[in-house]
Amino acid sequence: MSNNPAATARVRAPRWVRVRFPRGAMFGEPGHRAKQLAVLRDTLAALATIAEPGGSVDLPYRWEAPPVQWRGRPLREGSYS
Amino acid sequence: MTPRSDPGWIAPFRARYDAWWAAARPLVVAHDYAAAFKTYPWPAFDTAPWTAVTTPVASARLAVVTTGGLYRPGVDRPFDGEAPEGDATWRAIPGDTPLGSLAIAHAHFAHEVAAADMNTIFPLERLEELRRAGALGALAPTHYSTMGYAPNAADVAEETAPAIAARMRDEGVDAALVVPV
Repeated sequence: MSNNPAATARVRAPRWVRVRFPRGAMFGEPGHRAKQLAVLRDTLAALATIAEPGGSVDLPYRWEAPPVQWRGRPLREGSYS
Repeated sequence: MTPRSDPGWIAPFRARYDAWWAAARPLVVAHDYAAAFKTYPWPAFDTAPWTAVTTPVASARLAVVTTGGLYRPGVDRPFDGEAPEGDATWRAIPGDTPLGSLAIAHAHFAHEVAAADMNTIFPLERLEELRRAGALGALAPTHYSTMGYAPNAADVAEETAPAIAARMRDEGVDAALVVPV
């Protein structure tokens, strides 16, 4: 999984899914069981469908809660630091 | 296709890393990570390692690796979350460990989301639901945590990752879900 596609592509991960959640919340909002299951279902599906080394799938889910604060600043969707 | 990573990058990386760390250390100690990592010698690769998936997911055995700095208080030594040069060690977490009993030793991310619901960085409860629903063959007996602040990528490549992979191989793991935190 990755929420930092530039870094993941750079290290040539074999296969990966991109999520747009902030750092520290790779499966979305706490307690959002349905979204967590959906991310995992899509991720497991990608294991079977990605056919090329370095291939990735962009998952459609979004962060739908107030931003997480980190070092005095809000972590935005997909932000890594 | 490249079945395994080419380790040829490691020796040159170590030389570049040592030079970087000599300059970056004072910035890291001052918690100026943006300035420190502006010159980090990112390893670069021309190809991605690849192992074809031969076992259908519905019958595959999955292990999870989180970089969230998770450990079992009273059982495991906590990660050194404050060390300037990080901590590249790892912890094995048995699959029957209650998620609520895990603690986080990682000073480089906001803990509030994971503290409210550990599934957000280590989704064993959700994966167990998927296994019961038949979407996944099995969960491995053991899962793993590292602490994501481990800037010496050569140590991770030569020590941390092979040790975890060996344990997975011993436990018949077909696929690993790596969750960077």
